[in-house]
Amino acid sequence: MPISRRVPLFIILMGTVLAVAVLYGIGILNPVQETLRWALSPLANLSAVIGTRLGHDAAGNVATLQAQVRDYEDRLAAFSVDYVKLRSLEEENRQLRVMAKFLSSTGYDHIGARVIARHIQGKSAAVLIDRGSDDGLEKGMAVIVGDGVLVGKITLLNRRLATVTLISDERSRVAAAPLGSNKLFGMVEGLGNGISRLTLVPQSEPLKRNDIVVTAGTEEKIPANLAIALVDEVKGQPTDPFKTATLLPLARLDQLSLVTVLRPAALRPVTDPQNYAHP
Amino acid sequence: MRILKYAAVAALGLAFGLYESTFLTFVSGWLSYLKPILPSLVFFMLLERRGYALIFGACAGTVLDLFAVESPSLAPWRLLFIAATLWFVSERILTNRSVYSMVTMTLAGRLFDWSWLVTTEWIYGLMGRDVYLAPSLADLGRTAALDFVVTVALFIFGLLVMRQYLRPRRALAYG
Repeated sequence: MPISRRVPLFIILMGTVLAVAVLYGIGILNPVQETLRWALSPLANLSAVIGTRLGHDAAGNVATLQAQVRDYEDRLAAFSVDYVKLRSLEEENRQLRVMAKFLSSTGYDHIGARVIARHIQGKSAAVLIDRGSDDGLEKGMAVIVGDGVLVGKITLLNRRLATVTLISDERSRVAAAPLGSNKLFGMVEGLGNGISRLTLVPQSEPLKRNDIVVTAGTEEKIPANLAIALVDEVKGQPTDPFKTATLLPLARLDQLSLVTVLRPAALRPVTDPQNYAHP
Repeated sequence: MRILKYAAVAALGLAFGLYESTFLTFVSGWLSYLKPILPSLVFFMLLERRGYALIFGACAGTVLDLFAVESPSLAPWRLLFIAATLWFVSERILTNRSVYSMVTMTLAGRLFDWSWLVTTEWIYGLMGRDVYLAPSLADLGRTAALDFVVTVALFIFGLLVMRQYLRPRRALAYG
């Protein structure tokens, strides 16, 4: 076909593309997108599960892992004594809470989610989870792993999916407190490349290596006392108004596969009886 | 039959889209730079299956945006524009059907893709949103290196299995 006869076809094609782009931009195509997401979600989940398994098998070389294990064993030994004390206090605390019927008054319930995509490179550290606003999620909610280790906050949301910006992302900021105190004493800032640091800590605040940094609870949708990271190295001259500290994450942010989103109980959907906690 | 072929190409686009948007993000090492959508687009172009290329690009791009971790990068339009540009290039500039032209077009497409992402990041920045979409130059280089391998493999596949590129190009290319 001669070029001259193809030009109108090209213009029609580009015109169509532009028209669809405009419809997309003003949000008319949102229901179509949601339907496609719903239809493709099982395949995306399957793809993520296979990717996670292969990724975990191939992750890291043996020497690096052995060095990490030795480092963590040293730290574990240091924590053991504290852990025993903490457990006894925790047990006492639990019994008191049960007695006082405080257990359900925390104002938060939780919902599990699977990570279906990741974007961890350079300054960016974010994951996509298979829960969205239909599951009662909102921007700013805390995302944790294990027994309450904060890994990030929800920053983008649609009906079926949500983006979690991890604490090592350069755009991430979390109000922090020392373990055992709800007093705001600094800010955990992401630096990219899997690193985060504690900043704006007043010189008067005691801070040393291996201290645990937790959430301060000053943010609307993030409860207090969620573990964030371990202090690695404290920096700052005595004459500086503030000191900073590099942090070691308590969870492998580059290997997340299952996470838990904490949502204020008031936001939970009534259609989700499994996650319904009685007030 | 023709509809079935288009459906198969659309399914392939969806599969490759899912591969790049979800599976690939969990993989570490060199495999994580193996992004086959763009070389496949070029392959369809050089097979003179432009309709397939457009359908494939639209489907793959749609999935890339549906499961984007960061803000959407308008991937369907990005890939359609790349396909249209490659269409123009393959008709008017690189009219021969050699492995060199295929590699050149793939690398040009990858550069166009990266430029689009950088521009989108910049536009988001103007709107006051900090978004990271474009890979670093080092990552781009690794992806381009694997593009070269994938393109050569596809060319050999086309040559030996599909018996394409063996017949002379139509008069237009040489006229």
